[in-house]
Amino acid sequence: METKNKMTAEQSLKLINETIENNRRVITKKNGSYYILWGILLSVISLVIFFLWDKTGSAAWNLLWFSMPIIGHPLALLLDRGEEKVPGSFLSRLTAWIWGIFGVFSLSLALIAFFWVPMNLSLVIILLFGFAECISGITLKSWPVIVSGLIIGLGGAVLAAGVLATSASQILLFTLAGVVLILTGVLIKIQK
Amino acid sequence: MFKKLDPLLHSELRLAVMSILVGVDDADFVYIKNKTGATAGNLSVQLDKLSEANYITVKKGYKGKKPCTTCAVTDVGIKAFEEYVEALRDYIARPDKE
Repeated sequence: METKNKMTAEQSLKLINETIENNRRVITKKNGSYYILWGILLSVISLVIFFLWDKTGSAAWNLLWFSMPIIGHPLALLLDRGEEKVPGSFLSRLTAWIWGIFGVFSLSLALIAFFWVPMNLSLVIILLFGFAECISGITLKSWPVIVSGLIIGLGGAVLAAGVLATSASQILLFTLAGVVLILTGVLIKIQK
Repeated sequence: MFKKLDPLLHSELRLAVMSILVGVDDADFVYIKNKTGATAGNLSVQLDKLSEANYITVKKGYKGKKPCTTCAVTDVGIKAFEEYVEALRDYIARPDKE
């Protein structure tokens, strides 16, 4: 890029818009990697929990959900090292906060359901998940993320409330959510 | 009467640098160089000009053993950028521009 000083006003505005848009796209693409990582973890862990819960009849296997952040965060750090370093921004912080709040709500609801008010936890958490996904998508201006949030949240809630009978099989909703996350991540990465 | 375009920002590379920095907390030299496609020498000169005008801060440090230069936009820089964009819009919106 030269230090041209004779840009027209239109050219200047075009340059500003393109640069800011490219920056936003870089951040969105980086999120694609995280969607793939957490999608794989969600699918694998949920399948393991479903299998063990279904075979043993013990809901205590749900404690394995705590392994997700324990395994996921170090892997996310490794992923960061392998990829192009993307500067921090309000956008990336906001996305991180959205998912952090989702985690807090999920954990709190699990404790409330366990100790005080039994509830269809899968239905509530999958709805929250879809909501967080949609809000992330709106923040990142990414249609794949918004649509996947709607599919996971609304579709999952319908399945949790209706078709999926036993508590163990409701865990498969999260396997489906994981698959949708992986596909979303791939779609974001291949988008130009 | 048109608002005057800031000559410091009315330059392709400096404008690109400011456009990158207004959208992030900070960015290192390598990132800015890759995104603007500028040569290291030229970018260095333009960053110095922006820094002298207090539009950006330039911090030289190390990441492990590797030297690392990090740039961030200042409040003065953000205000100048906003005024520049406003001046551009004013210029484009006026039907009697030359």
